[in-house]
Amino acid sequence: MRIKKKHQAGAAKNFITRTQAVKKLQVSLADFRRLCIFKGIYPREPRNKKKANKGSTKPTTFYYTKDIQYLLHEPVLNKFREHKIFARKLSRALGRGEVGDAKRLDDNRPRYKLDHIIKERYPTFNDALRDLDDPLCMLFLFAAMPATNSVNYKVIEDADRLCNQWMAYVARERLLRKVFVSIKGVYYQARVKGQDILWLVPFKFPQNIPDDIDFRIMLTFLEFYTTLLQFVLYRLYTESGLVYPPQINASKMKGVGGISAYLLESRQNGLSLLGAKASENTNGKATTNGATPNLKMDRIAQADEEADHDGDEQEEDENDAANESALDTFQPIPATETAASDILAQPAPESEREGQLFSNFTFFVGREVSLDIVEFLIIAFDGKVISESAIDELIDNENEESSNDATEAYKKIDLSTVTHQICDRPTVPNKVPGRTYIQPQWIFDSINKGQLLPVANYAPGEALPPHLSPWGDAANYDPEAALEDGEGESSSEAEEEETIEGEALPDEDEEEVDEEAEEALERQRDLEKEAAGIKFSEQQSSAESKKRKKKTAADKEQEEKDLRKIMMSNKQKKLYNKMQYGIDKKQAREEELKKKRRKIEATKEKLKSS
Amino acid sequence: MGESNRPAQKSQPSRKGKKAWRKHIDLDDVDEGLEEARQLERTLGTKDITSLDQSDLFTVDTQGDEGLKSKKDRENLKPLKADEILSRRSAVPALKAAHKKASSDNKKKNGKIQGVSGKELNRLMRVAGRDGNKSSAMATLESDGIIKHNNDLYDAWGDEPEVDTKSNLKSATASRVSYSKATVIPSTLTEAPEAVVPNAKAVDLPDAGRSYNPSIESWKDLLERENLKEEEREKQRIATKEEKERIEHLIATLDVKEVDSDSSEGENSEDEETNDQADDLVSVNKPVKVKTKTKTQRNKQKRHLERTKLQEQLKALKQQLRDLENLPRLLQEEAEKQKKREEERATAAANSDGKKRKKVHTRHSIIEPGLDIKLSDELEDCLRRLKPEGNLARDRFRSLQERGLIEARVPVAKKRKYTPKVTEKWSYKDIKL
Repeated sequence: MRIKKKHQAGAAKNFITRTQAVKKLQVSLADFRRLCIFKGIYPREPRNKKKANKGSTKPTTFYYTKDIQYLLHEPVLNKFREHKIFARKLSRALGRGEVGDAKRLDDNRPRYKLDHIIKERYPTFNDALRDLDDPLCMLFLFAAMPATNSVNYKVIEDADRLCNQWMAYVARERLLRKVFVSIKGVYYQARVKGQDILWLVPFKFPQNIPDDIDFRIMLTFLEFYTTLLQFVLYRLYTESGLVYPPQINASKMKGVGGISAYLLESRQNGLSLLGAKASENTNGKATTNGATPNLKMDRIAQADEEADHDGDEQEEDENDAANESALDTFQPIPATETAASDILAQPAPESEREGQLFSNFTFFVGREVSLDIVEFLIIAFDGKVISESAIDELIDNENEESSNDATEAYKKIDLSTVTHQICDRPTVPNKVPGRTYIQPQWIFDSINKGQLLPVANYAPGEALPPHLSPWGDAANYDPEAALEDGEGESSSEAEEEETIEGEALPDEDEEEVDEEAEEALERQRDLEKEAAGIKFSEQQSSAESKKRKKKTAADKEQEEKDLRKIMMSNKQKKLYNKMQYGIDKKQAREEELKKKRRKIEATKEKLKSS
Repeated sequence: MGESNRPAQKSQPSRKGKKAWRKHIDLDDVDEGLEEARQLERTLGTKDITSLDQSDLFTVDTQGDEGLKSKKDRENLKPLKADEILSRRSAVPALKAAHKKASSDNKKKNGKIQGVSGKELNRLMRVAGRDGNKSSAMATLESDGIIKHNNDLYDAWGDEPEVDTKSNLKSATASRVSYSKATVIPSTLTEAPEAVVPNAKAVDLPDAGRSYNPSIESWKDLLERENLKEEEREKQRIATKEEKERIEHLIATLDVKEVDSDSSEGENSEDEETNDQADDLVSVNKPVKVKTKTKTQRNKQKRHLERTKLQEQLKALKQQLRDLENLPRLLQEEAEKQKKREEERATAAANSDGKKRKKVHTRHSIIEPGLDIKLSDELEDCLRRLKPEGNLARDRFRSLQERGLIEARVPVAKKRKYTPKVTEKWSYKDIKL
């Protein structure tokens, strides 16, 4: 037998240290780091470090040798090398004082692109969408950052633009699902092409720049993520028939900015389907700097309507098509003797009114409310926004001759359509009749609930109900739903829901009616039984037998489960247990909450009776 | 006639008696005045200048100095040969150094050097890596911005005509491009990164207690959890601190003992001598030591090593014998320990909620998460008064480390390669006036 040499096979061959990798690729360490981030090559941990590093146990970073070998084929690596040469030439020219030559060199500098890496790392569009959480967070973070030594203003501007393009798209396509205002920032969740995308937007406050984070790494990630988001946005925009990149309304941009400054144009007719049609009210009337823009806006509005008609027709067609090809139903494999069939989760049809929550409303947003959050939310749910700060801008931009009078500015804007006013002050001095005054939390909670909540709890100066997390630990427990036990009646009574004029909540009312009817039926049945002469004890026994039946059914289920568990492999069993743990936890929590509720109801009852 | 500038006479502060009054009287100032008056009389004929006319006192000299004329003529003399040779110059312009030539061309036209503004020049310096602070890549990123595709965007996931990879590979190798297209993507590339915190997500679902207006229950829950974590950390901190103190104490006490044992008579005197020498040394640098060991030293070490080895073996043997004697007790203890360990593991698993950190062999741990909670007096129920907690940039960086996308490391400041050597300048010998 041949004698095997040490460190010639196995881990020693599979892993490569960072220093070795840098030497192999012949780039600087900084360039190597950037390349790894671009290509998605991460540090690895060999099972036995000693074997991987030729007997040394020094703390080092390892990579897969195959990954590094693959990096050798990377065009960007070549560009990095070219850049190194370019930097040398430039340095030389500058050293000799040949400034003109240096400028020429810089103009022809080697530039790299990352599109091929994006195609490679995300083979399908869905892959890209699935990984969009991190890019969005990063971009929104940089968009809110102050320009400093470590972060250039250009980077921040670019990030801000991309973020607004994303928000404009989400708002226009009504994709937003949930919102949560936390002490760190605002969490948004949107569903794009069936993928749930969660991102965090910092508040518009000056941020501290911590000194223990490496901005070179962050910026490299940002660079890659920007390219990714650009391609994703391009695809999303084109699929919705919009022009990418969208045009920017310069006058609005100078003012309050935000997503309403982005004009999303449709591809076919080149007409401006105003970025989230809803914001047209502010856009249209706030940008009255002269006669021509006014005309333009009118024309746009007309075209808009036409486009709407077209769109409606198209939509109808689509709806028909959708109805014909109704959602698939997943058929489980029929049950056999040994294994009961699974109950498969069926795809739920998206509700028709999703994303149309505020379709009939116009909101007047006070200047103390952070516009960037509220505007996005309202537009995303089909509402219209008139913001006080935009009007303020209008006053400031006015010519000096025409007097900086607030009333002048207010005249130009049609405030008669306003249905709600969002304000965040303890008191509102002079209320306008016909408007509903609410605090911004009403919008968040309504969106999370998927229905319009009673406004009485959210009136200005009122102590707000807690803002719960839409992903909270309440599991499936619905605090608004009536209890199924005997306390049901009292609970529904306890919850005195104040409905707003014209916004009755029909579903809940119906439910209540149903319950009452059911109880009446029960009573009726009892009476009938009494008349028929059936004894109470017999009745009970029948109930008991029912219970036993149920129990046996439950037992059977459990048995089946156990049987199936035996058939599972170890890995599957572990996974199953893990899942079961989560489910149990959820159920326990639900049960706990219900118990609490019952207790509260009981005390309420007592108080009432005493 | 009195004399001025006479040799100084003995001063006589006390003038008691008539004789003393006659001798050694200083009359300098009187003599000076008299002499001045006499001088005036000699030159102008009167002691009183005020009586004279102005024209008698001053005259205007309108004629040149006769004596200086000859001095002026000297310039017309024939110059020295050496001077002549030195002053001879060629009509051909001298050669200039390359860099000087360029700089002479740099005529600033409206603040621009060769059509390049100063700001642009600064940027170029940064791109060339001549700034020192920033890397060249970062400088280019700044000048270009992060948006790489402006007009050449396309549908990256759209249908594409299939390209034959093999033919492509051939053409690539044949051309001037120095890289070749890879035909096989390694399976390792698609492996997920090794997360330090298992199941770490890009964005963690927010805790309900971190709502800006949380329900009391969830907020208390969060506070309790954070408190537990913080307590644990504090305990650890105190433990490490105590351990450090203990070690320091040990070091201090052990040092004293060693010194005591060393102080035998013979060595003592030697020590003192060396100490004296050390005082005399002027050099700031460490004294040069001869590191080579002598034969005797080596032998001594060897013997010592052997002896200690033997001792160890003996000790181990004795321990073994002892262990054998009370084997049943030891077995029982071991079983108990095992049980305890298992229990601990179980509780730890239950506590950590399945989020056990992976042990990674890097020197550094990932950056600590911030303590993002509002205390009871900080809770605000309206959005307007909300003060954000925590730092999102830090959170994002931590998230990158958590998911294993980047390794945990601490930025290192550049160290100097060699220790600076202090030398004495001989300039103190220079003559100073």
